[in-house]
Amino acid sequence: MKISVPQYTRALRELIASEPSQAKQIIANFVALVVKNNDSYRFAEIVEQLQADIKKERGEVEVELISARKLRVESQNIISNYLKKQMKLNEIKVKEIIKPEILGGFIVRYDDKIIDGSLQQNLVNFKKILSN
Amino acid sequence: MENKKDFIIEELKQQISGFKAELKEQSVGRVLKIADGIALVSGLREAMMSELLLFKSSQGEIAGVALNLEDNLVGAIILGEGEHIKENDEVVCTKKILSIPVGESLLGRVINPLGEALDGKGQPETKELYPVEKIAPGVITRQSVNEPLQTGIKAIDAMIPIGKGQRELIIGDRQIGKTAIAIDTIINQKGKNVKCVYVAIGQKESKISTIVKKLEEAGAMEYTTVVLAGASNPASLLYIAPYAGCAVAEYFLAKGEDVLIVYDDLSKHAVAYREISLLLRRPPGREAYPGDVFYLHSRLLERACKLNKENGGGSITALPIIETQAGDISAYIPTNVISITDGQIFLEPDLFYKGNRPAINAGLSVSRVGSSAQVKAMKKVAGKMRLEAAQFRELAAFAQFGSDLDEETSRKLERGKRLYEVFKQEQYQPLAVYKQVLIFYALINGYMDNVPVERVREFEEGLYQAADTSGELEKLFTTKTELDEEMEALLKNTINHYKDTLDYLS
Repeated sequence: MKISVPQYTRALRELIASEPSQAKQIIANFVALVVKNNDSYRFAEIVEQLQADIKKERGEVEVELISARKLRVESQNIISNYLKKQMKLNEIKVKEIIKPEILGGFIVRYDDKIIDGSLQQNLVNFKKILSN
Repeated sequence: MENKKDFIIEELKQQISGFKAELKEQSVGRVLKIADGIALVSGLREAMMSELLLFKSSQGEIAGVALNLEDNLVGAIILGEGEHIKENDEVVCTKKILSIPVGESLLGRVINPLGEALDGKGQPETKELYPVEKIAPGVITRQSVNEPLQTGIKAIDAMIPIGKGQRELIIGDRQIGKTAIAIDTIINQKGKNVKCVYVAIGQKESKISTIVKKLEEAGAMEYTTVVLAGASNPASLLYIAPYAGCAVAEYFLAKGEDVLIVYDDLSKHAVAYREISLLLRRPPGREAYPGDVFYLHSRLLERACKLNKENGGGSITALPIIETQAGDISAYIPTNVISITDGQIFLEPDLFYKGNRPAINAGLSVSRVGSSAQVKAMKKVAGKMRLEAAQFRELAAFAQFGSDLDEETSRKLERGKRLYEVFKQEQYQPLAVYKQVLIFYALINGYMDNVPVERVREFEEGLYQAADTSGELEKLFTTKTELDEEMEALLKNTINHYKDTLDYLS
């Protein structure tokens, strides 16, 4: 059976968490196991996944919030609270980006998701409805 | 004018008030690689099989379909022009299966497999969307084939009858009249309340324009939709074309109507699918086709059906076309499609070049379910015809070696010659069923034995004219289709009267 990258990283992290003193040995065994499974070509992916997991755990997950103008603090809070709930995290980092070409509203990007509430996209949708 | 303005304003108001600005969470991925109409997209963990994807390129949104779902990758085909899509462009899931707009307004139109107009008459107005891929109706909703679908071609209606809901393969080499049979069949549906869909897959656009012109001339475009994925379109469009055509047909089926659908041709469809599969790195099998090439066609042809009364009683009759190389029907795709369909019409180059057109090989052509749906009168006159046609070809080959033949053999030979003469038929001239019954009745009952072979066609034309002038036979056929004493008397009478006017009988 093929083992997926998240399965590898989860197993590794859970083992280290249960026996932190044995970390070095566990990592050495883990590397040997991955090589034995002929999965050494996936090391890059495994490292990437581990970094992402750790970021998530430390509340360092970055979320892009794109708006036409700087948003008010209240609006920002509403959005970040919603995202925290969605991603089941206590802390997230919001990176604000100002893009006047979206005209109004906002766009949020996190993980591989996007919430497009921009005026530009709404106008495109409206145009589609009218042309039908 | 005032009224029209009001109407437009009212409609606008309705659309504006009905517009909801909604926020939805969408999965996004990014294009990793794009080549040959195939894109590899990262992310999109929630993508479904054959889900519609939207590629956000610099030139607006371009549609695609997810075909390969892998660990962190989605392999997708791009429907339309992929040259504007660049690496790292965004791709969003739509949570919708690929669908096309369908409706009455598609009749008389030429569309591409995405439902966009190709005939310059503006986008057809449609209200419904039908999924391109759909599971075929199940056993409970079906019924066996019991109504004939007249092709108007004598040789087919007599020997290889087709019923509504049947799948009959038309197979033969290039340039031998496969499309001609399908087009004649469409033309013959005029006034018979059958809607037609002609799906052109990988055909030359010049050929399609000729076909559309012919159909218009014959008044057949009124009930026909042409779905065109031409030779210049990418393989992805060729691949979805037959399924899109079937979705158009299913719209009419759902209304309880009868539909005839022609897939011209499925060899090119298989080739397009092979191209896509190889580019998606699926393992090649026999003739480099992927392992699921049988399912590719079986799931398409299984959608042809005859529904029972409780389910509307509509039907989809499918006429798939397969092009063979040098008459080889044992190649991979021909054998597959032969085994899926309910019979095949095999066209043979030898017959074609001898002038027997349509060049139907009576021995290799069969219809597995159609005979139960044949018109009763036709069934009676045409019963022995298939056997006689096959016997004649055998005898003719045998008779070449010796000149002394017994009376029975020479009688069979003479009859056979006339039979093959009667089977000849011009293109775009389908024949009404009562005329077919008339000529076959004359033939099998020996009324034509004294007509010289070279004048058989002249005799035939005259006989039809005689039947047209009196009009009695046509009238009788509208009330019943059985060959009873009354009909037989009328047939005899028509033939004898006509024969009395001739001076060339021996």
